[in-house]
Amino acid sequence: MLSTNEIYDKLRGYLEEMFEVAPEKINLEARLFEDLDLDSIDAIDLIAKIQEISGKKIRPEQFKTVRTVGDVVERVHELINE
Amino acid sequence: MSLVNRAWRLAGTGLAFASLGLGGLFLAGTVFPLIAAVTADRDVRIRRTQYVVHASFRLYIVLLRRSGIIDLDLSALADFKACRRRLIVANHPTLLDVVLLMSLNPRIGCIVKHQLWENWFLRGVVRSAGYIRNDLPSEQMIMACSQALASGQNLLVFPEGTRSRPGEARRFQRGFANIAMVTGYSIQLVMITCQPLTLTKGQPWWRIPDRRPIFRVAAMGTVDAKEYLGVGHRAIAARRLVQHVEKCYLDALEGTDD
Repeated sequence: MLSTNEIYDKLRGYLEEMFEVAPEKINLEARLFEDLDLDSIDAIDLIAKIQEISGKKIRPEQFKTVRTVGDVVERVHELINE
Repeated sequence: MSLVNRAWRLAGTGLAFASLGLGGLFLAGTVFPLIAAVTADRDVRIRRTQYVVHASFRLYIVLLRRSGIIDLDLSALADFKACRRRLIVANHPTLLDVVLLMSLNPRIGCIVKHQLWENWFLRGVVRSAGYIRNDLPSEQMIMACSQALASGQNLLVFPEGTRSRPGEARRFQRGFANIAMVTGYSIQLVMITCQPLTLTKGQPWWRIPDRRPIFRVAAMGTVDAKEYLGVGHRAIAARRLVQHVEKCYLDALEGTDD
């Protein structure tokens, strides 16, 4: 079972490692596309990576309404504890 | 330049504009259905349709040149006509860019803004010629691009997304790099310049320049996608590729004086 803090830490790691996002840009309010310069293909890669930590099958539609880093953390937390 | 010349070019530009839409409508109502009727295989149908588009645009450009509406400099085009299975990446200063490039190579498909699927004049063309909608979900989009390239088409992409406004450097979008990194096909860089600049974004067609514009289409070499595939994660490779291509254009533009 992962806490939201642990999920946030992992997510920060992914963003830096996979997409070279500068660490100082990452906060819970940062928007993935506009502020962190991710694109739709990046989003698919990120979801695939998140699937590894959650250990659950994730469908991209489940992330449709996700806009910010905080949204992702919340969504993943919900999915893990479903 | 005399007033007569200007009036002539103005009338010619208007006529050229109208004939582009009407030509599309005409082909979509006659030639393309005919091709579709006798061609069962999708790839062959698309190849034939794209060839007709190419031939029509060639004629169109020849007429524009002959009538003195535009001038064309193809001295640096190299073997552009022969290139196949490449992502053709070009800057996008004017409304004529697509027409020019398609007139110079018979196997060009492209990613097209989805609004054209509803455009009364052009919907028939974009459907028949197998162009790819820009509003497809990204996985489907990459799949469609991959199929088009594998079938022998080149794919024309304008990474600036839309026509650039004069004097404004637009950021390059990453789509072409993602396609290249997933499919592994090479990139052909093309530079289009127009002096004096005309048919730009936000400029009405009838505001024609004082003298006949010279369009120049130049091949800027190729980028081998495989060189970037080893860079690490795909997303990072795509970012490096965009940076490289963006720099190629900035360097090339510094050489010209617009």
